[in-house]
Amino acid sequence: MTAIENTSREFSDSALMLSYSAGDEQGFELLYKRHRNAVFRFFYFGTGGDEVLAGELFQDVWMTVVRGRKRYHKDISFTEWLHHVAWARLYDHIRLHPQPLQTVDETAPESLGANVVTLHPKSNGEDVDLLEQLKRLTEEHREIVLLRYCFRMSYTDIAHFLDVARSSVSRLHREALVSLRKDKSEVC
Amino acid sequence: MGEVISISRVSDVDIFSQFDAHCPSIPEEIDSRIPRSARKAVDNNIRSDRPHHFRNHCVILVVLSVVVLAAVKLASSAIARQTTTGQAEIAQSNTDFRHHKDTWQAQIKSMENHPAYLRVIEEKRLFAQQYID
Repeated sequence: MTAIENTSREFSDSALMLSYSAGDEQGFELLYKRHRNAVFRFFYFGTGGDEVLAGELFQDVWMTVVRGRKRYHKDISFTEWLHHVAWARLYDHIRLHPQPLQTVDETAPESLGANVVTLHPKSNGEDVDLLEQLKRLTEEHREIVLLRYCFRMSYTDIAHFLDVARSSVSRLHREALVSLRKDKSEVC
Repeated sequence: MGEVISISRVSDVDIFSQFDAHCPSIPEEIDSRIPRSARKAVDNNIRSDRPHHFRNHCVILVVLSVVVLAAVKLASSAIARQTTTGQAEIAQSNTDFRHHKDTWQAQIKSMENHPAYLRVIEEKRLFAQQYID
């Protein structure tokens, strides 16, 4: 671990962002190192594995952070702000460039009350499997999975982020996991 | 199809690692460009913050200099024009301004010797003498 990384742990995200907005470029570098993987993971899986598109959206989000540095206020949680910016960017893109609907097998049984999409695994590699599995999740489930596994949010954070009850998050997460596991067992 | 999955099997520890393992690394070009852009934005900001006052002062100085130069130029040309006109008039009247005083004095002298003036003076003297006597 480098000295910079050690130092970065001593400062909160907000403190780093405030130092960056005051003109300390190192504040941004530490923030970037801290959050870049989560943001890129979010876009990579959010775009269904489109690496080029994920890179573009990823870049847009960080440029929004750079441009918004003067407006940043200490009362705002940086992580939450960053996640909201990334979320808005991804769903703006999805809204402007809608993908063809996934094939849904109407005869499939609903798992734990959720609208689980049936499996048509065609992929060879595990990487593609995970992406395919994500594509087959319902919109609600996919949102929860992206927030949980890309941003590593807790149920409480997700509930706050999506403005829903924590119990709903817990239920949707459980359903999403069942769908993912089910996909996996059927592939095997 | 229709497999019953117990909740106890729903553990997501392995899913975190799956997401990590299956996500490619950030393209190097983008990864280096973002901090560079952030640095550039700060540099531009510092540059544009500092020169705001500096630039304003420079603009004010330049404008004032131009105004002063224009005023001096106008004034000097007006003075030069007037001087030229004056010299031309003097040259035309064939009178040297240095002899003006002498001319006036000569004029006064000639007026003092004028018969009308002498007559008035004489009348005043005679009138005054009546009361003196």
